[in-house]
Amino acid sequence: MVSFTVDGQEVAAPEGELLVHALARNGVFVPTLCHDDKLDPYGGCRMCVVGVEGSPRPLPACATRVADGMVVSTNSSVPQFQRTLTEMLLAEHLNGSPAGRPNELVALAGDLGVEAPIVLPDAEREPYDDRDRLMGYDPEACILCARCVRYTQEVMQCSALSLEGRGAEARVVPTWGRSWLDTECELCGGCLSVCPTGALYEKFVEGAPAGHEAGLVKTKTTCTFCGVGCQVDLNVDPETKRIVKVTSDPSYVSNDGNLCVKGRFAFNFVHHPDRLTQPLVRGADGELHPASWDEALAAAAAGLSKVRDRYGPQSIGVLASARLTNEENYLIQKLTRGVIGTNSVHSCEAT
Amino acid sequence: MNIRRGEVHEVVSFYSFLREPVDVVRVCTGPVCDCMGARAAEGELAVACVGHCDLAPVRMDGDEIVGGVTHRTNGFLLEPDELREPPALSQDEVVARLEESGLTGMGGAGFPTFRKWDAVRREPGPRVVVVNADEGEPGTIKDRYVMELRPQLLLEGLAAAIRFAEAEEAYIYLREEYATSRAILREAIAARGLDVEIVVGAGSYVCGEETAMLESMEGRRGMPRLRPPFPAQVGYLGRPTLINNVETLAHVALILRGEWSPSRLWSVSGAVREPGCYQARLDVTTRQLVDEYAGGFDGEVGAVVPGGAASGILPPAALDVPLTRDALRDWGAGPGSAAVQVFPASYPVLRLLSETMRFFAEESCQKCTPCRIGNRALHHVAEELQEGHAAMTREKVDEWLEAMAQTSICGLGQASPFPVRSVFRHWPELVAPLGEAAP
Repeated sequence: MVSFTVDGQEVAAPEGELLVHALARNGVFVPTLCHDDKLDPYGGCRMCVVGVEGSPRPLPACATRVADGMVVSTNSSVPQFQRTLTEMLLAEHLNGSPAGRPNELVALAGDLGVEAPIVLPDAEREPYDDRDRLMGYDPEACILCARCVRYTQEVMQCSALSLEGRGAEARVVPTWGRSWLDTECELCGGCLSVCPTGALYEKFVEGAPAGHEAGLVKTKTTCTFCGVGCQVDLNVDPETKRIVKVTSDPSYVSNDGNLCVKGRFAFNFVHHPDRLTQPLVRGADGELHPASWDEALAAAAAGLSKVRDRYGPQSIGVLASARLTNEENYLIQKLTRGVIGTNSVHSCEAT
Repeated sequence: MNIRRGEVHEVVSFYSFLREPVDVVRVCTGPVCDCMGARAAEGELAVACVGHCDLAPVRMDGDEIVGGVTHRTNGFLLEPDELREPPALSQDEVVARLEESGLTGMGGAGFPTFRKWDAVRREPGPRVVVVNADEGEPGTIKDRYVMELRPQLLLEGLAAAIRFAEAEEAYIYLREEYATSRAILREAIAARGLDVEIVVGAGSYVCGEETAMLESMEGRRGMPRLRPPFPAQVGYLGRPTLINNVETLAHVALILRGEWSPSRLWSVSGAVREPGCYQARLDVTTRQLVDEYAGGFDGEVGAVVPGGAASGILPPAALDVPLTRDALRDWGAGPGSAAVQVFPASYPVLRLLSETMRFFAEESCQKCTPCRIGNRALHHVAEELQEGHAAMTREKVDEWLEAMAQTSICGLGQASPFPVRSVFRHWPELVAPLGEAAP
């Protein structure tokens, strides 16, 4: 731990911690837009600049590390810089509320009481080839913080999104301005999750949520698509009681808020009419009939026991579903080896 | 090649020579060329200053300057360019001589040269030496003159830097538009047998900023890095890197020989009779430069830019101000890269301001908010002022200028407020539509 001062007050932080975190823990909030803990410090939006003694100009708190004896100020010219930088971003932010999605820039402008003093005549950006069913991009809501581009490069190691051009022509766009479908994008949707202004968004396959997105109710659970155990939040529309999207929080340990295309977008099976929602047992008439879990498990146990007793345990093999969790897979192999008595157990997740 | 499609897209779209074919006619629209009526016709490409302002108006056909490259100069640039080895001096002696000379970087920032050299030698090797030959500040032609007229003097300075830094690699980052320099340098390097590679830029002003240059050399968009760490600590491919401007290294060669007296190279262009690059003392005035070296003024003077686009715009009343950092500070300007551009009274000051801000807006790398948006807004404000309209209030513009100067990442956004502020200060009647400044 080292000690440093913030606005004249002595505080402590681990040496090398990013100033933006150290300030937050000590109750000093500096706004950030381009910063994301998953990504390398970028220092592009400049919203978090603070005065640091010895530096001729203010430094970005998101890219400056705490050092012993540092003297930090957030109260001299810093608030004015925050207001001006917000005004600047608003000056080319033609769509401040795309479809009611949450927008950190507009929220910040509200907090600071700031409006755009001018709309840049060249603020309009070229559209792109919008053919993707799952993800959309509104260039007019983008503030070029490049979180999405850096996410693709640093976290996903792909190049689905690019920072194109410079000057007024600069824009974020799926590589070469094509549709995501024509890039190496795997549709993980991670770029949507880091966008601060809702410029990158999910096209709601299940229909748009009634009302504002912020009204969705989140339920944390484990993704059912594979054994990794990603933690997800099912976002449920409280009116229709249907899942409208899946998100994940960067604080979730097993996946740091990252998801794959299935985890993020393939949730429509939940409400599908063909989905089995209760156990079925085949009766003497050859048809499937609804049954209780006890009845169904008893029927399965009886069937397996009959085969084992007549032909021996080696006559049975178990294939575990790829959609089981790691823990469920463990129990399956216990059942197979310990109860049925065979080593013939496999899951396609083993490959 | 292990390069992703997105990386290619990002890089190609950043550099003008990668975006557009090399073999089109490029029409320079830098301030001096604009003043002389340069306009791109259909099928031609309007480009930012191509660094041949003494020949304005300038057109490029592919790599060639239409009409050929000629020089008007004096002083050490005219002396025979002999191939000499730098004297064998210890590191301490080199630093002492540089410190004693008072030499500062000639690229524009004016950082004491001995400090840079001293910092690099304290870092562990392997070290790299890079010559910044990406002379892009509109109006500046001096590095080109050095490379074309005294290439061996530059290489002598470079050889001294390589020896001093015990560098394992050395590069010259040369702007694409300098094909003549490129050919001459190649020959000179071969003649000397020096192990140095020329890295050719691809048309981007901001790559003259040293950290953007390093990014460009490493094959990325020329977007400046955050500092600290400085290139002397973490530079090209993460190695301690000694970066010097071309003219600076020529001076270094003369200083180490013991043949130097304080002076610098002034690029003089615009409404003067003999535009060119002239060696003169450090405290020369614009009037002295033009009268004593550049053949006198060509008509009535309307405005003077003392040191490149980002240095400020001054009224004729400033013609007798010594072009030093201290003296120009009182006029809200700076000596920058010593590129004196004289504009005739017939060229509207607001047009000059508008073209200058257009340049900064187009060349902004987009990384930081104040530079990316501020320069575009100021270009718009200057354009509207030409029509007598106020796009923003004076109070707001002043706030934006302060945010640009203070919070931009690199020198582009930090310095581009200079021309705006100096016009505000010296031509208040032209900016009256914006209203009063805050008290």
